Amino acid sequence: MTAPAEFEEAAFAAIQDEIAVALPSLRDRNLSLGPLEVARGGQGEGYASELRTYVFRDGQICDALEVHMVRNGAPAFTVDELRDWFRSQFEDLT
Amino acid sequence: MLASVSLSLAAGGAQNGVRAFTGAGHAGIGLLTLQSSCSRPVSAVSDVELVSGFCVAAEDADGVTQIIKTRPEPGADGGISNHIIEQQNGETTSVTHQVEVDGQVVHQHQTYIGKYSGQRQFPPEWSQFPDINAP
Repeated sequence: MTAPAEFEEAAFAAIQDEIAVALPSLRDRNLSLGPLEVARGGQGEGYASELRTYVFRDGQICDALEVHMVRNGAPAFTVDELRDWFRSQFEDLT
Repeated sequence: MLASVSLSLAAGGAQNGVRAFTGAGHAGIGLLTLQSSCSRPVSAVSDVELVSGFCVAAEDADGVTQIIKTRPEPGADGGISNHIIEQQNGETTSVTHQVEVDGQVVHQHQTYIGKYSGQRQFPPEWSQFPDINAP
């Protein structure tokens, strides 16, 4: 099993790449994204983390994309699953 | 305390899973899980207007509106991801992330947004949606 820190690092890099691809299309829809962030909490088997970014329109947060990616100390998804999920959400944002 | 809730089902945003409700004062309003597909036409629902393609319930006396957005695709674990965007007088004041699996809320946290976009959390007893398996 991938260690949480290694998984988080790979997931963060993958989603940053997806954001770079999605940004022009988002701009066309008058949307922008806040910074991609990893929120962490707990320890050991209680450790959890979340990958998140807020969606902005006209300077206001109008939506958010957040994935509870590490739960109970272990990754809940694969990096590819996260990448696919974010990609589909970027396409659907309005 | 359970505040009186003026429920307005958002219409027309079915493809985006957008739902909205307002309440008289936001403290104490439990999440209303609405599974409707928003099939009613906008004109049939009072106090709802179409804004930028989304249905937004009319503001209450405090100017508070909550918009619930459900991600169109569940996660790989089957979890349904909801976001509750709370706005007051057009400015976003909090964002709540909530994940449901098999009808159970397995993850929830509410982040408050300041006037200048700063983010902060308040103690659970102050929040309408206290932490569940957060972050």
